[in-house]
Amino acid sequence: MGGAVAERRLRPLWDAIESRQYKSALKLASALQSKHPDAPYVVVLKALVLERLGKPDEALALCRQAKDMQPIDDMTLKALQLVYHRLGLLEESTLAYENACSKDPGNMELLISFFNCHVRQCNYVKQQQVAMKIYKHTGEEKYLFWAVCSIYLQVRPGNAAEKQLLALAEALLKKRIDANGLHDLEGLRLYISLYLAQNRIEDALGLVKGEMGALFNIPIERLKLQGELLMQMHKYSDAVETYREILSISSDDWTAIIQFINASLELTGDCSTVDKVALQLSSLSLSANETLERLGKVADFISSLQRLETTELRRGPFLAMVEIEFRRLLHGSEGSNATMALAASILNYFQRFGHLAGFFSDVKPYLLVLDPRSQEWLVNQLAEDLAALADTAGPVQLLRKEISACQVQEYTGHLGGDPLEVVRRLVRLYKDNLKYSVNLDPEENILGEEFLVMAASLLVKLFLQTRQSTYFLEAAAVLEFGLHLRRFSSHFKVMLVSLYSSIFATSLAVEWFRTLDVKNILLESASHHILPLLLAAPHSSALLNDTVKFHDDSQHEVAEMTIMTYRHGNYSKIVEFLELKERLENSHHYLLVRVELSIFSLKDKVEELDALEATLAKLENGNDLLKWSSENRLATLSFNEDCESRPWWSPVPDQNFLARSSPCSTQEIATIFPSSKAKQAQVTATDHERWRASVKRRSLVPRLLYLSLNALSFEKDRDERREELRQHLEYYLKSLDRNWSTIDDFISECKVVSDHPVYKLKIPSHLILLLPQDEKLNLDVDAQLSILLFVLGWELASWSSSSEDRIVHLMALVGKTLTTGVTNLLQSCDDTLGFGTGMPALVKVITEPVSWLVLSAQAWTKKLQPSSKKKRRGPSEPSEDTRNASRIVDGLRGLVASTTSAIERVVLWLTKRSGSREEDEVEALLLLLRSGSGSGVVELLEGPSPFAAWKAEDLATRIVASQREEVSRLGEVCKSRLKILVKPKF
Amino acid sequence: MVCIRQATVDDLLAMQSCNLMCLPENYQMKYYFYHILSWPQLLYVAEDNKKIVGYVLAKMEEESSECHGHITSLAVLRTHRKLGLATKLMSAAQRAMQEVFGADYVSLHVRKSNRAAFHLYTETLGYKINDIEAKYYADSEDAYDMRNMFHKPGKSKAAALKDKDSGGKKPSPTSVEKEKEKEKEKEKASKAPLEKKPHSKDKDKDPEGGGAPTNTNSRRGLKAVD
Repeated sequence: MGGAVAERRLRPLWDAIESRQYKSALKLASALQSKHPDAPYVVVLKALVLERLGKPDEALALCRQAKDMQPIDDMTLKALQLVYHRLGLLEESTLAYENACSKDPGNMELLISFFNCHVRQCNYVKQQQVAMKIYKHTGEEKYLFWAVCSIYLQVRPGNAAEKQLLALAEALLKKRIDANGLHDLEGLRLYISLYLAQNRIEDALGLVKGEMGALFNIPIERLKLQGELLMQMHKYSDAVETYREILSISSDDWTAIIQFINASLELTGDCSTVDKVALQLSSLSLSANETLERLGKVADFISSLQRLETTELRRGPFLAMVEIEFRRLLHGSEGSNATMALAASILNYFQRFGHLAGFFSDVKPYLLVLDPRSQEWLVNQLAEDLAALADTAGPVQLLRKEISACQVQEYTGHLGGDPLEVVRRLVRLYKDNLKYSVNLDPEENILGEEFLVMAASLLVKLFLQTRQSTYFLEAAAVLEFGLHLRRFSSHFKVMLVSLYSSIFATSLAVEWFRTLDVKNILLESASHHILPLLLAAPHSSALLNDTVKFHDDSQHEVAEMTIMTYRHGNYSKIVEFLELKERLENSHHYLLVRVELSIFSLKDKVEELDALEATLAKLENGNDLLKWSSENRLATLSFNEDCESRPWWSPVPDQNFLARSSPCSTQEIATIFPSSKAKQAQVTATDHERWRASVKRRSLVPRLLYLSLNALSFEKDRDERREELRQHLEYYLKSLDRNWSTIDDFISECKVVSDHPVYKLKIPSHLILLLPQDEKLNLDVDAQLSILLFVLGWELASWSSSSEDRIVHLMALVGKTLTTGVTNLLQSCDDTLGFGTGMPALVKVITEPVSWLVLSAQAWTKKLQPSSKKKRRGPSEPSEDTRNASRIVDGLRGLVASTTSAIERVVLWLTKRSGSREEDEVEALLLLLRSGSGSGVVELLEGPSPFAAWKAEDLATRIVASQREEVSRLGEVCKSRLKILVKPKF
Repeated sequence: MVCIRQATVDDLLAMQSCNLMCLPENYQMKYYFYHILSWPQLLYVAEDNKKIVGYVLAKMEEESSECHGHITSLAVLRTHRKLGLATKLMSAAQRAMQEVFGADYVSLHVRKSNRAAFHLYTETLGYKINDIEAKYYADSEDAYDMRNMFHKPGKSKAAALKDKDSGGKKPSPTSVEKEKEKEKEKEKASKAPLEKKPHSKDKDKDPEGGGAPTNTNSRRGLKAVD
């Protein structure tokens, strides 16, 4: 046994492993093994070293060897477990423990380890059995809780086990409590959740209020739970009393204040935000008069809270008065008096707390409830209030109030006057007040940063309305200026990442994103700021691999953390923790990243058809991805993206007003800015539906590519594969809100045009084919090309003599779509900054559909070449002879020719672009920044400042350099595609 | 409007987002898990309209002779500073240390340069400098080792609770067991370093075990911390 080896002999090996000297560890382990061939511990250590050395097969063989020796000491088993865990074979170590426990049944240490094995495998039934065994042996309360918790996990929503198991758990606890009492708060919580899971709220309440409730060491926690349960039971008058009690201990507890009001008005549910209260309106059971009367009582009590003497800074009891006015408006009072009263209460709150940073977010939900007249009244009152204070208040206090007032103005759309003048005013306000920030710690925010945010927002809005580059550049300048003074201001960075992403200044966007230091779980919640840009790039990036690593690591850690939680007896956290685990496992972001990494792995192999086919084979010819995004998986996806931090012009990652190619109307902008900011935080179910469809669409790509590449190679299973291709394509189209018949019509309409007499003169069809004027498809170029290409694959898989016309036309159409698309995109890239969809779309087209096109052409040509072993490698069908392969080959040649010319056109444009002098480009940007066509804000920014000076020239230089970098990167990609096309094969 | 409440595991996501907007402290998940799964009573968050705008991360040091708490991390969004949130978060955690674990005092580390935090600890919360730890942080900055002794009434309240429940009830019966288990673990660890490995990684982030976490950025607003 392991003990047979003296510790002093083991120590050098342990040390080597500790210090990660695995090679020398291996030598030591081998030497020990030859001396102690019957010691399983040494065998396991050797396995562990081999695993670390990247030799899983040898490690596994040794693990099996050790396991067959049937070790029963915990040390060997633990080490064995460690290796099996790393090899992803949890069940093996569970079996090893099972065996050991049967041999040494009284050994509690072993049993606990056995319990832990089941925790790792999330086998709640087994957990329960083993925990009961331990409890029977030891009689310790804690192990009973382990068993009960394991039962609770079986019955948890989503788990199918019978509810009557709960009765068993309850009986077990009862028996214990009757005999020994209960001594652990977490145990009590567990007991309470058993009742709640059975919807026995009254019994749960009984526990909280009863003797055992004294286990709550923090009395207010007990009261809060009591209040919640009372609300659920609709026992409003008791709930009112409970919340009064809570508030008399902790008068600034906002949740308690809201619940107190709800209880008084006999409302249940979550009423903490404005929208939700509105929803609750219909369920109001009291009459209007009764409601108003009760609100009066509520106000009296809250006033008494306001008068409590305390050193604490309390806003709750004061904001409560605004909430009460709001409820009066909502539930009882009618007419404009009520909204005026609400406005007046906000003014009151401003007078007391307007200088606090939280003022605006406190009153924000109420502002939009006001009618225009009271909004205007409020805005004017705020201004008057400020003016009155000008002489008496300190400058910083005054500045803070001015910020609050400005935020209210912006939010309600009262930041009026000439927008350019407003921008200048805001920037001036910021700059003029810099003097108050000179002595702040470098980690403190500069006073008035909000002014810069507002100025930048307004400039972006102007840009969206006019598409004038100057405004865009000025917005970037304002934000850069803010970061120049304080490098950590994340909200500036997030906006810049979005701005730079949209003008193809990739490296600038990436640089700012990097300074956000997104890692660990932030990869889940914050990657969306940069993800669209990274996914549109020709090559994969580290962030994607980081995401996968984060998920792999946390899956590994979760088990050990759960075990630790059992040990610490924090049962309520186990449930929460498992929920988080599931949330991470089902992450949309994780799925998306894995899908995109697979597609990148294909893009990387575009230059060699064989290499690409090998990569496809690794993905089970695309079937892997289909499994990842099966309907079941899609239904359980969790969305952890925190979209609240996104800039208003792009409320969700796949919706970006900057990417429009034409000016937005005022109405359109009004739907997102400024007042619907409140809604921004809530990503809707529609967004999630779209993201599901989109990730599914992407996961189809490798399979579609595989089927399409092999369109001419399928023989026996040709019909089946063809049908599969069609099904995937139909899903693909559906996810873009199109269907097979739209695409069919589109193709047919083109056919009419190509029936032009010229065609009969045998001029290659791709030269004369015209796209229908009415572009029914109305898709992005890359989507349209991909679809047409895969349809072509389908047609080829269905090739018969009667479909040849269609195939040839389709080939011409693909070529034409590409050339026209590229021409249009290049035109839209031709303005100063390359705004809008131009460049990114171009990259998308070149890196995906064009790559697939080049590969497919290669694969199909190979099949059709007369030099192939068989004369014609079509499917062996009787119709074979009547098919005319040379027509198809000609069509393919035409397609290759148009592809070549399209890429050449891009290369030409890129060469021209990178041929221009960098200084000239910088000069052009500077001209825009400094010309009178904008707000003239740059002059203000460059003016004297108590901080280090800022120069617009730096900004222009960086933008130009970054864009040029991308231009040359795209040039390389184009050239690599061209290289394949000019290969003699075609 | 902000309210202070105990953290849930789910909050970890939002707490990290808070860090994104506030401070560069971006601990590994394991570090948060370690705290919330071990001492869930000591983690509080400040929540404003479903958004986490601040939090305090704390733990108990049960191994030393005096039972005491330790503030690991305190953060408040810049946009929510000067609203008294840090004070409220600290008070909540400190109260839990006393009432749940019967702690005698609470300790924390703070950067010497962090004037705002130092002011909060000394002026508002009554901390005193206990020691100076040279080059405590990864960027070699010194830390003040600070302590706040809990007043006797707090302690006797916890003690009274003990007596009242006296069916053998201690404020945290598990804590004794935890201590035992920790000792056991230590023993095992000295026996088999293999087990120590995964744990010792934990400890890397646990300042007592492995010094300061790897935070090279010197900017840290209102953050206590290790």
